[in-house]
Amino acid sequence: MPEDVIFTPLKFRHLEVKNRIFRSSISGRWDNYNGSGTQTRINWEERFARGGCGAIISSFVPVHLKGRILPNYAMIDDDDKIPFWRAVGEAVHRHDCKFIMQLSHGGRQRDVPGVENFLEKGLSSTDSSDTFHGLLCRAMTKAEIDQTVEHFAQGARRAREAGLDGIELHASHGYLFTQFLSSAINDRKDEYGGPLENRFRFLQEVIRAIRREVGKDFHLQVKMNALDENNALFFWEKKGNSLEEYIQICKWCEEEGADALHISMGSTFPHPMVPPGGFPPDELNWWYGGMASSGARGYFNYAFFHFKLIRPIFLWLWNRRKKAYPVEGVSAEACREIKKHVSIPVLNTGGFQDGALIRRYISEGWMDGVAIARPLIANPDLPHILASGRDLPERPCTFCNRCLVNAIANPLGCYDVRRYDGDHDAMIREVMTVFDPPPFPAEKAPRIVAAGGAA
Amino acid sequence: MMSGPKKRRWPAVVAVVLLLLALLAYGAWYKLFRQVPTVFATDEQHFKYASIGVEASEGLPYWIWMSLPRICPEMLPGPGGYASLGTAWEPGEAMPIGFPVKTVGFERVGINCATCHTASYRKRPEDLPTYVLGAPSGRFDAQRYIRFLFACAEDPRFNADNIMKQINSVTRLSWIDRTLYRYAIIPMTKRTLLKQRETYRWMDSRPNWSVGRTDMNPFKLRVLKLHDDATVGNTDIMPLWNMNARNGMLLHSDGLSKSVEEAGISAALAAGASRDSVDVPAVLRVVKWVRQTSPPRFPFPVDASLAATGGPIFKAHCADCHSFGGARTGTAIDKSEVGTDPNRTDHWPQAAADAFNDYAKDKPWDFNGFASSDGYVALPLDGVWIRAPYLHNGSVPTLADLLEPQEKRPKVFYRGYDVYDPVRGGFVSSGPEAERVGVRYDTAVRGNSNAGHNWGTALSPEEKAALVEYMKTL
Amino acid sequence: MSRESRTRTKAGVLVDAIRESPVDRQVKKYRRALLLGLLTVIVLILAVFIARFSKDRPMTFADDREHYLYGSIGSEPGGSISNAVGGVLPPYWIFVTLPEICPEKLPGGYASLGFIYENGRDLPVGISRRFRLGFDQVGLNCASCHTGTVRETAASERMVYPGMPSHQLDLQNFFRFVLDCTLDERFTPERVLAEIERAGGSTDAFERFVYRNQLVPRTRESTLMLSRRLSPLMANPRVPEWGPGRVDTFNPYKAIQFNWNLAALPPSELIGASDFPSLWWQGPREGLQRHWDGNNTSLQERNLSASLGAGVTPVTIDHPNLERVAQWIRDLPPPEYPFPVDQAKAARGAALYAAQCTECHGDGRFRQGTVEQAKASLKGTRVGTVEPIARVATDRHRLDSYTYDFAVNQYTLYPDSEYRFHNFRKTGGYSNQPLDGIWARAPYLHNGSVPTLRDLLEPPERRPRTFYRGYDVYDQRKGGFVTTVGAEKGRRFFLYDTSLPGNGNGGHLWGTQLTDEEKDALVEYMKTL
Repeated sequence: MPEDVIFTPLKFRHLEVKNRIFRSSISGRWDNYNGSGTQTRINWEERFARGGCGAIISSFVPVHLKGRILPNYAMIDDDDKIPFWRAVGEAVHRHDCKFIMQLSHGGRQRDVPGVENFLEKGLSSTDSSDTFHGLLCRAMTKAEIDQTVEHFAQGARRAREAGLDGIELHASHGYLFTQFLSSAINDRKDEYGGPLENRFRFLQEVIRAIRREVGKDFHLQVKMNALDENNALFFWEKKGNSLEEYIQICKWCEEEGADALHISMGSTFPHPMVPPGGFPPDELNWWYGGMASSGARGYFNYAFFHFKLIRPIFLWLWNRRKKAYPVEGVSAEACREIKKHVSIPVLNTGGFQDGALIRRYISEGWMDGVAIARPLIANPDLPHILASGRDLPERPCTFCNRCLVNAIANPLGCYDVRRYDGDHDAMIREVMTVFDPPPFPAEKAPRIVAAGGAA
Repeated sequence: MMSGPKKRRWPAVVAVVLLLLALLAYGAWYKLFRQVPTVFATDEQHFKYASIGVEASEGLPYWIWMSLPRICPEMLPGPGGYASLGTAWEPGEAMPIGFPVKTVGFERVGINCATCHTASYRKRPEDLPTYVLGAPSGRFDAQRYIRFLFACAEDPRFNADNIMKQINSVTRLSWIDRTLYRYAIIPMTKRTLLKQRETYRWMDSRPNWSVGRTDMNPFKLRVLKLHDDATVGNTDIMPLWNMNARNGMLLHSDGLSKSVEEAGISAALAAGASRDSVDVPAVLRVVKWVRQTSPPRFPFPVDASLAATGGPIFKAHCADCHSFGGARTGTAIDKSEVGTDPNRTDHWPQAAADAFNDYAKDKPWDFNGFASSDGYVALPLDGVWIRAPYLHNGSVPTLADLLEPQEKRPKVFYRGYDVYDPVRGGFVSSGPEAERVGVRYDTAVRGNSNAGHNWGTALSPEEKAALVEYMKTL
Repeated sequence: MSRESRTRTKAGVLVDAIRESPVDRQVKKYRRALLLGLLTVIVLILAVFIARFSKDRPMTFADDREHYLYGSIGSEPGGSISNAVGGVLPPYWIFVTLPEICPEKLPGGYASLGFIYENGRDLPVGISRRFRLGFDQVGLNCASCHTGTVRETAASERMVYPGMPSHQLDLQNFFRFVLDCTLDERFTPERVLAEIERAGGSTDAFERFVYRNQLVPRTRESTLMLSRRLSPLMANPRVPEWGPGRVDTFNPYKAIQFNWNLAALPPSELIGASDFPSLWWQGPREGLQRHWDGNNTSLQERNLSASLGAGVTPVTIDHPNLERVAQWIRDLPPPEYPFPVDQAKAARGAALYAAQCTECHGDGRFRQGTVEQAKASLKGTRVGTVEPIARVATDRHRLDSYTYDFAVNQYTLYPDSEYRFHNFRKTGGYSNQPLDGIWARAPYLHNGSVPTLRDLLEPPERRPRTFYRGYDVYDQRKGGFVTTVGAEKGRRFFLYDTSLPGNGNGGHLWGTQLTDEEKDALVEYMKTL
């Protein structure tokens, strides 16, 4: 049996990963409200390292409070977060796994703005609200841009100081970088809007600032859309950037010193193609209420999820464009195009689980590695399974997206009860395993004495 | 900052609300109560078409009045709308004589003196009617008119939809008038008519008035609110002319008043004017006019020589009671002496007269002259030819019949046919046309007796013929 | 008070709403926009409805003659959709498809009733079309009863004369057909819609809805009302048939306008059928006593009154359109006799005419010159005055059908307006008429009881007792229409019986004492009038 390309090391300029499977960015609301980390996150990340991933790309790590998507995500907005991230890195490293921190800023995409943010509109390239939830925003001033660039630089510095293996800039899925890059969103008239190089300027400044702060030898990769498909849901919206434009942007990233690219697609999140797969209205009915007041269209959307009679209207819109793309490897074709134009390694994400498929794409040079999230939630030891020669786990991920909808309100985990033979309790038990080990192991925990009571 | 503007805003709000209320009140007054006087240049026109104050109290909204015959046609005596009630209607006029239209907010139809005091006659059946102002109407059925209004108001067809459909098919009212009619005027009119209907219930237990007759009981029972004594007061209408010559005489057939002015005003009240709505100046203008009008001349040729022989007979047998200046003219002749139907004189007791004299103590037109008698007034006979049928209750159709003893007077005849019989002195009261157009009069019915007044019945046929011929000249 | 800090108590519970987030404000804006949008949509829909249902647009004709023949005088139903008034005919599409719905009731279509169809038009002469109450409606106009046809022989082309009495039109059976068929069990919305489709009319879903729920039921409703009110005239064995060319002018009016119970009238009063008069050269007739019994001297009131008969109401009448007709017929010349005239014979007749007829009927000068000259030619004659019934001695039913009581009721028509009637008068005879175009006004006398001019010059006992009416081939010898043809191409003509009440052919004995030769000459002259 020839060597499995999946399990050959991937060498970046300043980082070597033992195999081609990256845990893509994903997280539950594990942490403290103020963005300080908890044991649960360590448990969470360690579980994938243990499962055999070559590297873990952290979940969305805000570089500033204003850039949060949801509260209860650990942040990197201050030096006081460094020790926590160091602990995360160490836990992961114990399993010969690398840890890459995704530095992020949500811009206008603040799904749950949090009490600290709800009276102010989100920061963005534009004054126009997001098209899905109607999340409100305003265009950043030059000073705010400069400040935000600096937040990224400081975030990168802190990641390096925490002993992590690299950083990733989340420039896809409609977050702040996309809001600048996408011609569908960016309506600025200044040097940050208009032609492609202007729209790229913000990302360019961030990369340069990071390089200035951390030097050239710290691994820096950029998560980049291959396509916006901004009108996939609502046909009256603008289409956004084309593949050609993104190829150009990727080339510029390489020129600016990015060490790798991580290709995805979609100018918003969620997006019909991101994540690819199902759109479970039952779960949305249960959990979307939690963010109904976040955006001006929240109640409207909620009504569509809630009232069965009008659901088909939304589902028709949602599924309209999707049919043109595969669920597995939704952006693989575009990734291959990008790979042709750059010389740095290219990762791809979006619906990877099938070992045969991954193997074929890597060996045919479409990409250098894959980043996986949902299938790993379902089977954290997916790399071991693939390594064992099987192409699919016994109970593979169904791409139903129930995990993501639940994440608004519940601990992240696989919520496809079919994978538990319909046993809801078994499913909950499995989801709860992330809290183990607990932050205060039993033998060290203070004894809780039942005080008082009726005698 | 929070309470400052609050304090200042209230007076403005109050002012605006008050202003709106005032505008609304003005609009309501203008559309529902504003009175536009009816002004006519000549006394004749005034008599025929001017309001005497009935409209504000009991006037019928014009458009409803116009619609009712088309909504309840079978409740009228026959086809012909209001013409079937025997109204006097001059060629080219929008309304019959005696049906004034006055604006009290909106146009309302009432009645006036001319309604009952305008006679019509025709010399030949194919002639058009000639109207004689002041003469007692021999055709108009006042009771039938009010009964028609009541019956239609009680009918389910009397509703806003039906009436508006009628109105909308003949005229284009403004939106506000349509709304007022539909939601206010029509329902209010229905309610008012039904309420009025209760005040006329007593009529149902009495003989019909028939055409050309009326009753003083509406006054006793509706206006003075006296108790119902079950009397019948059906009486022919009086002529209204030459009133100056009647100064000092008793008025009404049973002499219940002496003052023409009081008789006029009280008649307006009986016609439906209220104490407050009665238009005293308008009534007094009529009174002033009828003080000097003369009776109509007999329109057929008179045999002058025959009449000349009748003159002395009249002087001998009639003049004492019936000539101006006669000893007993204008006084009440006791019912035992005259012997005619006693119902009318019995229906007006002293209590009614007293109540009448007390009725308007606070008004400048306070009544003083009402009285009660135990008989019937011997009336001057000017224009007697058109005052047929005769006796106070109209029980004898012609002058010639009156000179016959009771057993030879017609027991049943028809009133309301206005073709004149120039020989017998009265209207044609039998024959197919009289029966078709007229109303059957049965002398056996209570109050309809044709007994009494036997003066002249003993004359010879030649003397009677001469006397009748003479009376045509009066 | 600031908007964000309203505090109110409700049932003792303090309810605070002290702040608003940007999202709240935006949502409020959306709601406002949504509400505004909804409102706009509602207003737009309402506006479209109101525009449709309040639109009142007659078909218009540039040519006065066309306007006379096909123009609307407002006799289509009008008022408002919730309160439709006026009109005696159903909506356009129902009207045109009725003969298909009840084919056996009218096998030859409207033409078999004497309606005139000119070159391929959808509607005959005398039926106007107007968009009202949201649909195309039809109504009668002046031309329906006042447009006649004449043929030289059965094979010749029909000549159409506007203003001529429609001697060929069977108006009573036309009404009967419309009333019958709209009460027929086949007159259902489904059938009506199917026939409309077959006739090439298209209806959208909304229109079908209205046909089902409004037009068809309302047509039935108004038919029921009309037929109940008119049954003492239309279905009464004691009231003879009108027959073609005749109408009872005032009795239907008593029932329709005033809702009189006709059955309660003396039976003889219900017999009022008389010929349609001619409508030309009206200018010089102003001031003459018009209508057969001379009951009105005002042309305007005559026109308005006739319009009521055609189905207008004081609110649906189209005064400008009617005035245009009035102006046109004012100057419309009487038609020339279209066949040869023996001039020598006519000249002999002229002298006889002057001696026998001019005093009451004027002479040949009436049709010549201007309106003023025509009027002047009547000076010293009794034209336009009423001849007492005792003198003229013709059938008196028509005279008796117009009563004093009816006249006074007419004074309430067009109430509160400048048009209110006040010139109608009950008269005691029949009015002497000018004889312009008399050749085309056959049959003669007010009730059309004498078929030809020549017959009229015979004493009553020698006038035809029965004859056919409605046939339009002209009898040039006798001056009138051929009376011996009972049917032609499926159309049956009407056997007129002078022995029936109202149909008497007695009276008008002037000229009957002349010799046959003199009478022929007189007829020849009268063709030139």
